[in-house]
Formats: sequence, structure tokens, C-alpha cells
Amino acid sequence: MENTLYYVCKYTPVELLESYGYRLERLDPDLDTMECGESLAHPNFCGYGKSVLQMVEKGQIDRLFLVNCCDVCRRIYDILSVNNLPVNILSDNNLSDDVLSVKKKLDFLYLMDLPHKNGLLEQKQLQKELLKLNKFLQEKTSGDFDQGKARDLWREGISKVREGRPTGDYVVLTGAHGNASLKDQIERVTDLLVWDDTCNGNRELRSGNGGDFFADYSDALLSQKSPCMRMQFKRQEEPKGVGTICHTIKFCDYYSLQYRDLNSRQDPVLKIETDCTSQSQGQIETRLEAFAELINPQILRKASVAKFVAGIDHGPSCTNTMSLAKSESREISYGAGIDPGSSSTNAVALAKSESREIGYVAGIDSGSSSTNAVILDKNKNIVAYSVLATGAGVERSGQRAFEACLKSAGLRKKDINKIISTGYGRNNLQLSDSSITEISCHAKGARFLYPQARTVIDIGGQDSKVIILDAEGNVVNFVMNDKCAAGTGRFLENMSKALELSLEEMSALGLEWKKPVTISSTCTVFAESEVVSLIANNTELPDIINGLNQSVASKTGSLVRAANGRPPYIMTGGVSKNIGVVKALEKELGEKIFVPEEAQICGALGAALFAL
Amino acid sequence: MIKSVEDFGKYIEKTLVRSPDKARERLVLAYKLFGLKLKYFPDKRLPLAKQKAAVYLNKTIVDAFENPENLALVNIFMPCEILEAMEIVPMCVELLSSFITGTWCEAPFVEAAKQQGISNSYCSYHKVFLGTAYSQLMRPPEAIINTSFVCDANNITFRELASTLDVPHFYIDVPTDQSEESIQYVAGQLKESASFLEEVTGKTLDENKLKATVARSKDTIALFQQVLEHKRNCYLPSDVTSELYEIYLTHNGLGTNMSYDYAKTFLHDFEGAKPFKGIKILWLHTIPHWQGPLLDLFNFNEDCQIIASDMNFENFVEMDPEKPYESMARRLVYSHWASGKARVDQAVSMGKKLNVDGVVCFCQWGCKQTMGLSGLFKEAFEAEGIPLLVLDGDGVDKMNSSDGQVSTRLNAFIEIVKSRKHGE
Repeated sequence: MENTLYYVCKYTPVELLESYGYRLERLDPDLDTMECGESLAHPNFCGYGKSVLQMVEKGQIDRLFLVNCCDVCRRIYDILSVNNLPVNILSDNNLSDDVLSVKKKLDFLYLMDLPHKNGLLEQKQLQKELLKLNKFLQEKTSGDFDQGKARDLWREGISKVREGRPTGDYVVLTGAHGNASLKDQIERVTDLLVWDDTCNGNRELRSGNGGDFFADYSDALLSQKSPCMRMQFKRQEEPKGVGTICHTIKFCDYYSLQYRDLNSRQDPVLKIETDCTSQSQGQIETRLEAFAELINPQILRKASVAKFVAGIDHGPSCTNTMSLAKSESREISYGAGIDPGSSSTNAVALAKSESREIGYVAGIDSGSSSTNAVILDKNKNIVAYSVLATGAGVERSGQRAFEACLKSAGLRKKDINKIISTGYGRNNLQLSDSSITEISCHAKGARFLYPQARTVIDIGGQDSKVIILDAEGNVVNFVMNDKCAAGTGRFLENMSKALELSLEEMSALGLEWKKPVTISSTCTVFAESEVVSLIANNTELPDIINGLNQSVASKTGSLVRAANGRPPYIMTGGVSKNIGVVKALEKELGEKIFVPEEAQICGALGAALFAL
Repeated sequence: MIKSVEDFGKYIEKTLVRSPDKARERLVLAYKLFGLKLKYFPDKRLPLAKQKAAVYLNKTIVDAFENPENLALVNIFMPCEILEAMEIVPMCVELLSSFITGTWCEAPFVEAAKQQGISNSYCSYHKVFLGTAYSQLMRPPEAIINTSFVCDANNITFRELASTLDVPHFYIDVPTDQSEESIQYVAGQLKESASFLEEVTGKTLDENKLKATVARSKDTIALFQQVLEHKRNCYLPSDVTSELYEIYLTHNGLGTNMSYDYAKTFLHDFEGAKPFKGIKILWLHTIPHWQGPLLDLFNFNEDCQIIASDMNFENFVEMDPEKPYESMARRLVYSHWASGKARVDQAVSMGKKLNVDGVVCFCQWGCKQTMGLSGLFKEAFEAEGIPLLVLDGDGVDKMNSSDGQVSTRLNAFIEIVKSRKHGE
């Protein structure tokens, strides 16, 4: 847009820049790829930095205001000032018009220095920076500073921020910058509004005190109540929502300790890590949904409504019942003070079920490696279950697993009154009536299999998760692995291919190890090259496998500690079949781990239990 | 790596779990014994200056562990003349973590940091440093003092250490603007830091002693500048670890007798040195001194040597001992690492001056400062006809780097550099 100046940091002197006629907009990258950013900087640069570089390189922005808030912002400036040579730098270098036309990509590039403290010396230092910027703006726009206009904008800015804040129940998004899509996703999944308290959100200046504008303004900028983590002074207040989501960006290191400190509080906190691409939204969907089920009881209730209605919909002549059920269920769902997990809700569902002579329910866990189905009768007995490889099609494998289960139980589809799906493909199974995240389902299933369990360790194909339960079996916290597949079933699967063994052979051989081998890299790709080197060095296969098992155990042990896990432990998921991993993990945790026979179907079992 | 060192590392790992005090005792005992070996049976292949550096740095580590009541934790860019004048030992992140990894026992400290929630992508030097505090290997020092210069990790590590160890902390904000006003701003904070140290330690700073210390820094830098002149043409045997030691001696060590003695002895060593005919490599950033393929390639190799790291000449600026605070501030404000452009320009200019054959830009795991500049470094050096290798790795955490990968990249690069040199 004409005259739009993009900024990245909450300490940007927005009002001063606006007083010179610029339209300030916070840069909110939401890209699919960032190959230009990677090549201009480095693959291990944070996603936000790479996105900014990408947007400039692709000509999507032509004015950028930076603050030296972090190493990445400093390097963005360094790279852009050399590669793009914006007007203010070009004029200093006396370059020819030819060079100008090729090189010029930005019309405005500025880096403002920002102190790390908030004392008198620092306020003066920032005041000096603001005066320097003011001079630059006067020269660039050939305009004069209009103090009245700047103060009006300052006042308006405060009102705008206050008006834009959510009221009532809200979820706090804190940590590193989160783009608009992330906020939309959180609001959609949690059904709550988001209070943006990220590093460049929650920008609220105090009111002006009069006197010298630049002294007053520098003090107001530095004294924001919610400083980012690079600042060496404490936050004055933490917004208190019904839950807090702490967002970190891969390769941004500031916010992991904030998460630790937040996690020591009582209210629910979720850590999510993204790389700022739109693809990462799929990765965090399950975490957000599980968190939503934790902080907003109505979410689970809504799922219950949907499945109940859909369950009735199976019948060919139930139109009236359906509408009745809908209205009744709504009443229950949104009725105050009713816990969705409480007996009253189940009693209603059960009453309805009994009134329609419901006999069986099913749960389908559509995982990345396997799709599992379970059929339960009304007395919670497992009538049948099936485990099939997911393969390429979620819908097809879900259908196949369900049909295999029906066949095994000697039932027909119409005998099943409710089907609930879970797992990565849960929202793409047409045959299911509703879906619930695998966090809630694994917790429910694990509790059923091992009622005394307080920590559920689930290592699946794509995700590892640790779920903490209270004495009543409610989920109180959960932690999942980051985007990297290290420490998951996929990791072991890749390694088994490198070793030319089946997973079963690998599990058995791993127990015969004699000499400890350390697989130094926790990255799947690096580990594979290490395994290749070990093979080349004639290291015995059982020793290599044991090294891999240790690596998975170490990674999982870290997750358990991050979640404040405590015994008794139960392990579920496909990897629990690997005795070597279980033994290594027991050693890592210093505790015995209960592995139920039904470990692999725990998620599907939980889904089926929810369907009852 | 010598197997006994690896075994000792494993022993420390195990002992640390049972008793951090015992692990510390054993570690210090090992460093002391190694110090005796360095003193009485030094590596005679090295020039005298480098033999002395090994002894000095070993002693610094032992002192730091044995006398926490006389210790200040600092970052590598912190000017330490005030500490030297007050006879307080500074211990920096890079030195301690390098010793820990050199003793092959960094893993439990990485793990301890991870358990506290430190992100995986955090700089491993800082990760291990924090890990020693979390696992109680490090005892609380008298004070913590650091600058914002040059990387983000300084904003996290020292604040966290102060809170974990419950130790008074002073933070010096260094602006990026290179001006006299910035020097005054930093000098003011350095002066405040002296009062802070006086209050915390109960010691008094003798301003004349401080001036003498800054004068020694100035003399030492002058000697280092002469050393650089010799490095262009003369060969002296070296190893990778010595280059790493020099980072400490050109930073926290400035103002001490040991840095001065090192620089003076180094200059003396060059007398009668033979001409350098092999491949000269300029190294950018820290050096993974534990990595086998690197040691195999560069240690005592007349045909191929790292002759300098760009960390070892970034702060050679004019100083006036009569204005000690301003002089220390100038080293920070006018450092060539103050901006990306200045760092690239100076590295290129030094590369040309030293007539290097190739450059390795070492992207330390988690260091956005260097990795963010790697593209600009490559473009700038190649424009001058000097090949550059961007090498990802880790100077501390062996989990983040693979010998095989480093070996292939580095050796292939040296083959290219050699063929170019012979082609000329």
C-alpha cells in the first residue's frame, strides 16, 4: 500500500513515524516457503527473519523499520543494507543510476538502536536515537516535525490498543511473534479470543506527560508494561487469561525460559513451536485442540453434542429424535457448571443411548504409521480391535480398519451407534461422527487400562507425547516433541531401513547388545549418517540398535521432565512394543513402566470410551 | 581423542549425579595435574608463547573453581581491567565451556540446561555454562558482570545465572552507534560497574592501578598487532587449541601480565622463524578444538594452518590510559564486530593483509551473529578471489556435529584451496 512502512518490534516509535505521513503496519509474514531467506542468511536463522528477507527479496514490501531487538533483526539489516542498498544508504555511496535501478528494492530501511535497560542513562540514550531518527525523517520527507500531531497520534494509539483488547474469557498468546493466521487458528480451535502478548504485541504506551516530546516519548516507549525478553527488566504485569499459549519460533532462544516460568504457575500453559510458515499450523493443530479441551470444557462438550447428534443420524427414521437431541444437547452443552466429563453428562448420553438400545461404539485412531480401531460394548468390554498400516490414504485406511474390526466382532455398521475418531487423520474420516484429540483419547484409554497411572508416555509414528493425569484421570498438562521426528517411531523406522531390519527384528536384536554405543546426534537425518558410519566401522548391530534405543529414551526422558512427569508411568503407542526402548526409558527415568497389552490401541480405545 | 580423557569424562558425568562437590574436586584435581604436566613437560613442538598460554589458561580455570569468593562470571567481550585492578579473577563462558568439552564431559551440562527449558538451538557455549550452574558444579561467584555486546545469549545467560545462583549482577548496555556519545554512555556504565564491584566485594578500586592496567592493555594490543604482521610471512608450529586460548588472551586477559607476556613471547618466537609456504587459513568465529578431523588437519601441519581467528583482532583500537573507562568503552563501541558490515570489511581487509589462501566461516550452533553473516562473508571474500567455506558445527556440544561430515567438507575445501594455489 502507498506509504506503508512495516515494522517488527513493539519499541518502534510508531507515532513519530506516523506523524511524518507513513502508515505503520506490523510485519506479519505468513509464507509457504522462504528459500530466498535461507540463501541470504542461513537455514538455521529463525523463520521470522527468513520470512522478512523473503518478503523484501520478492518485492512484497518496500519500506522496513527495524529495531536492533535481536541478533536476527541486526543481521536482517546487515544483509538488506548490502544487498538492497536502500535510498538512505545509496545516497551515502554515490552509486550510479544503473546500479541504483538494479540494487534498489527498498525505499526505506532504518535500524534504530534500543537500550536493554530502563534507567535515566538509557532513556537519554533512546532520546538521542529518536532525535537522530527525527532528523532522518525530516531529510527524507522534506517535512517538519509536528509535535501536536505526534501527541494526538500517541493518544489515539493508546485508545485503539485498549479498545482492541478482548473482554471476558480470553486466551493469552505470549512468547515470540505469532502471525495473524496463528491467532485465527487459536481463536477457531479454542473458541476464545486471543490477547496478543507476544514480543511485538501488547504495545501500550503510557500517556504523555507533556514537556520535551522526545524525553517524554523515549520514557514512554521504554516503560511499556510488557517488555520483551531481551530487556533486562521485569514485566510489570502478566495478562491473566483462562490459559496461556507460549509461542516459540525455531532458532529463537528467548522464550523457552519464559515458558518454564509460566509453567510453574497454576493456570494451564501450552508451549508451541513453529517456524513461521503456514505449514506449521498443521503441526500444532493437535496441540491446540488438546489445549482447548483442557481450558475450555465446552469444547469437549461440543464434540459430545456433535457425536451424539451424528450418532442418532445413523438411524434411518430419527429425524425428530435428532432435532430433539440437538436442542437437549445444546442445553446440556452450554448449561453452566456442568463438567463434560462428569457423570451427569454421561448419564444423559447413556440414557439416550439406552432409549435407542445402543449396543456398541467404536473409536478409530488414524495415526501417521498405523490406523487402529476398537469396538466396545455398552459395558466397556473390548469386543474387537484392529491395527493396520495407514499407508497413503487416511480415509481408506480408516475404513479398512473399521471394517476389519466389524468383521472380527461379527457386527455390521448399523450396529455401531457412535464412532469417534482421533489421531492425525481424525478430521478427515468421513465415517466418524466426531473427533477428539489423541491427547484426551490416550489419557482416557490409559486411565482405563491402568487406573493408577499419573503419566502417560505415548511414542507414536510422528509424535511423542507425555500426558500428566491427576488422581481423577483428568489431563493436567501435556508436552509433545517438536517438529523434528527424532525420538519418534518414524526415527526408529528410518533407522531400521538403514540397518535393513524389520522393526520386530530390531526390537529383538537390540536386547543382545554388549558394548555401549552413543548415537551422538538426535536429528533423524544426522543419526542416519552416523549409523552408516558405525556400520562402516563394523560395529555390531545390537550395539547400534541399543545406541538408537538410548537416543529415543533420552529424548523421551527430556519430554517427561519438561512435563514434570511422575510415576506410575504407562507407555502406549507402537514404540512401546520395542522392549529395548522401554528398558532404556525405565533406566532413564529410574522407574518401572507399565506397558499394557493393548498399548497400540490405547488412542482408539480412548475414543471409543468417549463415544459411550 | 585419547581414550583416558574420554573415560575421565564419563567418570565425571557419573560422579556429578551423585555428588557435584566430588565431581568438581576431581575435575579440579585433573586440571591441576594437567597444569603440572604443562609446566614441567610442555609440548615442545609448540613455540614458547603457546606453551605459556596453556599454563596460564589452565591456572585461570583452577583459580576460578577453587576461589569462587574471588571470581566474577563475565562474557568474553567484557573488558576486565577493573577486575584485574581489583584482583578478581574473571571467568568467561567460552573458556569454561571449552575446558569442559575438552575434558569430554559436556553432555550432563547440556542435559541440565535442557531440563531447565533452555532451547535446543541455544548457543552450546552458553548452554554448558548454564548447565554447570544448574548442576551445582559451579559454585556461586562473588559477582556477575557482562555486556550486551555482542550476542543475544548475553541477555539470557547472565540474568538466568544471577537468579539461579543468587548472585549480584551488573549489565552493561552497548549501543551500535559508533560515536563519542556512545563511548561516554558505556564509560558511564563501566564507572558504575566499578562502584558495584566495590560494594559487592568490599574491595576498593585503586584508580592508578586501573590506569596502569589499561596501559598494559594498550601495550599488549600493540604487541599483538606486530604479531599479526609476522603471521603474514612466517611459520611457527601451532595447534587449534592455542588459537582458541588466544581469544581469551586478546579479550578478558587484556591488562594482565599473562596476556602481555604471551604477546611479547610470541613476538620473540617469531625471531628466526622460517617463511610460511603452506596454506594459510583465516578462521571466522570460535574453533571446535575437540573435533578430530580439525586437529588432524591443522595441528603442527606446516602445509596447512589456521593463522588467525577474526575474534583475535576485533578490538584493536587506540586507547588512552589516562582515560581508562573511555578506553575500555572504545574497545566495545569501535569494535569491528559492532556491525555486520564492519565485521565483514575488517575480516576481508585482514584476510588480504595476511595474504590468506582460504577462509572458514564457522557457524557455531545457535550463533545467529555469525550464521546471519555467512552469506555476506562468502560474497565479500569471493569477490576478492579468496575461497570461503561455510562450516556448520559446534565448538562444545559433540551431539550437534559429526566428525565425518566436518572431515569431508573441510578436506574437500583444502583440496580446492591447494589446487588453486598451485594453479597460480
